[in-house]
Amino acid sequence: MAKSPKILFVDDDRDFLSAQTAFFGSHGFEVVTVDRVDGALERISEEKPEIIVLDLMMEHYDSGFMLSRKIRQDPAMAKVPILMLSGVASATGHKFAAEITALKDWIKLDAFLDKPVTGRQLLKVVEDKLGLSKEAAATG
Amino acid sequence: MPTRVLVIDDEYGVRSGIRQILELEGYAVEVAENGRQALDLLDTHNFDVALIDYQLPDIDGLTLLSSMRSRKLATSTCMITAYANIDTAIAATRQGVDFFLPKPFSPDDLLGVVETLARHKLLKEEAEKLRKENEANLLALATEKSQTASLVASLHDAVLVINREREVVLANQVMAALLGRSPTELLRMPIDTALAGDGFAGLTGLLSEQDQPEQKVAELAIGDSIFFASVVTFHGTDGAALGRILTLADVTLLRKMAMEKPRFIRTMVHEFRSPLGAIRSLIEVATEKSLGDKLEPYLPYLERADHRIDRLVELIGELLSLSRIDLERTANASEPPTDVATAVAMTVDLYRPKIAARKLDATVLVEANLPRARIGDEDFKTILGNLLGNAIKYCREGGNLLVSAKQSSGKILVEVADSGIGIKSENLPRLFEEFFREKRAETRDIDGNGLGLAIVKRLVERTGGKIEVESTVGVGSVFRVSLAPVS
Repeated sequence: MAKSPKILFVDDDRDFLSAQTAFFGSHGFEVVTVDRVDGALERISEEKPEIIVLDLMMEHYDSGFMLSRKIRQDPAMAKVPILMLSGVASATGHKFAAEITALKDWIKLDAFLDKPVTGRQLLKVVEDKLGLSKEAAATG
Repeated sequence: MPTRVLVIDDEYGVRSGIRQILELEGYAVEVAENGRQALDLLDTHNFDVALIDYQLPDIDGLTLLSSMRSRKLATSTCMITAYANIDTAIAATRQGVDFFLPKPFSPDDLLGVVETLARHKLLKEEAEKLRKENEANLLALATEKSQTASLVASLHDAVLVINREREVVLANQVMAALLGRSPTELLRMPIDTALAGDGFAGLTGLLSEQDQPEQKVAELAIGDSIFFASVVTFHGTDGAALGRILTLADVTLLRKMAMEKPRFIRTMVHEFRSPLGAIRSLIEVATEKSLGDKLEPYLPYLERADHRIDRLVELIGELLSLSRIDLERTANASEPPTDVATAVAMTVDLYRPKIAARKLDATVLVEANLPRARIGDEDFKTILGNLLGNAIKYCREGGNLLVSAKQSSGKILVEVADSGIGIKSENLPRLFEEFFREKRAETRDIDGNGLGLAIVKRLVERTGGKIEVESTVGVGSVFRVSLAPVS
């Protein structure tokens, strides 16, 4: 039997983290949570997760973006799927949507999801991305 | 009404003869045999025409004329004299006589003269009426002009009028201040000279000669302010353009508010989405049965969800307070002033359980005989409650709190000091912004929505008070509210 995939959440909301730990744990994931940006990068390279879920707005409005960019700069992490969660995307409308397209490209974000997201929605995207990244690894 | 004639002659035959002739023609006639009688009649009756004999027994005709003149009578006068010569004519004319009738005269001569004089009197009256009307019009015009001038001067908007020669013919104080000159200095100044300074290029463009539509509007920046500018061309009765009126309304604040609203809403949406996301995830752990079939393991998750809902309800309450305060920009003046000592004691008592729970040492110092503060009781308690609540939250366990109230330089000073975690100096300017919270390792487990201090600041400022904060990271913070006492 394959080893459980490791999913790493970076979010400053501890309730969200504890709920995801329970939910993804019950779906066969090994869940690692990081509740602050400080030291998150080190934790990520240490843990080597299969997939990362980042909250966009932590200490600063763009903490998530800066962190994902740094993750991408680590060759070992360059291909790990990153899902970005945000509570502001829809509210800001067009302009932000366009920025996200540019940013997705820039930091090679794999998905952008609006909060509040359900665990099921998140699980579906995570499974998709892991499947996709497995295929990409097989063909690459 | 018949024309009224006064006949003044000492000879009975002459007076009654004249009377008969005139009455036959429909005139109303009174007679006087001397100057004294004549003046009495003139003082009590209105006459259109007076026929005056040059020689009277008491006073001569010239003196009578002079008396009539000094009485400013409208009566037309005719001198009857048997000694007509140039000298008497000149003297009588100097006294304002209107006509001469030399004796002897025929009834037709008499009637012709009286008729002419009656018409003369009517014309004089008409002329006087016109003069008075004209005077009244001029007065009204002057009043209107001064009203317009006061109106323009009192306008909040800047106003400038230029004539066809593009010279300034009117500028109010606001406009003059904007252009850095005095209103009188601007008079007759070519507009291009008046707008030569930096930052007025937009105005020069608006007032350019090239196109002169009826009205032109634009929004432009002058210095740090944004103005809504309007130029109206005004015309004379012949339709030719006489000049242009420029008005500038300062819309800086409006623009700023328009920009702030979306930002506020964006932040608010985030403040709702984050907890909703957490609540949904917490509940989902149970609905997805992630922890097996027993209920027990889910309780901590559901309790956390419940807690987050409480915080959301609190947030909604504070948003409502904020909008209510914004609606009532000025405090209700009819609210009775607050007895500070009582209000402080009541508020502190309300927080005793929280103070005890965190094992804080709280001291309350209220100066004796404080005057009442010019603020509503509820507002005062909301302010102090928020400050005290923050002090308790951000104090480390076992720390110290000091709530004090005293009089200082004519104000009532209320202070809340704590020995808590403090605030970074770079965050102090943003502390009273809506939703602002310092994100630090020490603050992450402290509940709060960043609206409390925004509410406090608005409540303090709408009574004319002030709030200040001093803080050192790791040492503590002091919030100082100064309120006006009731004199």
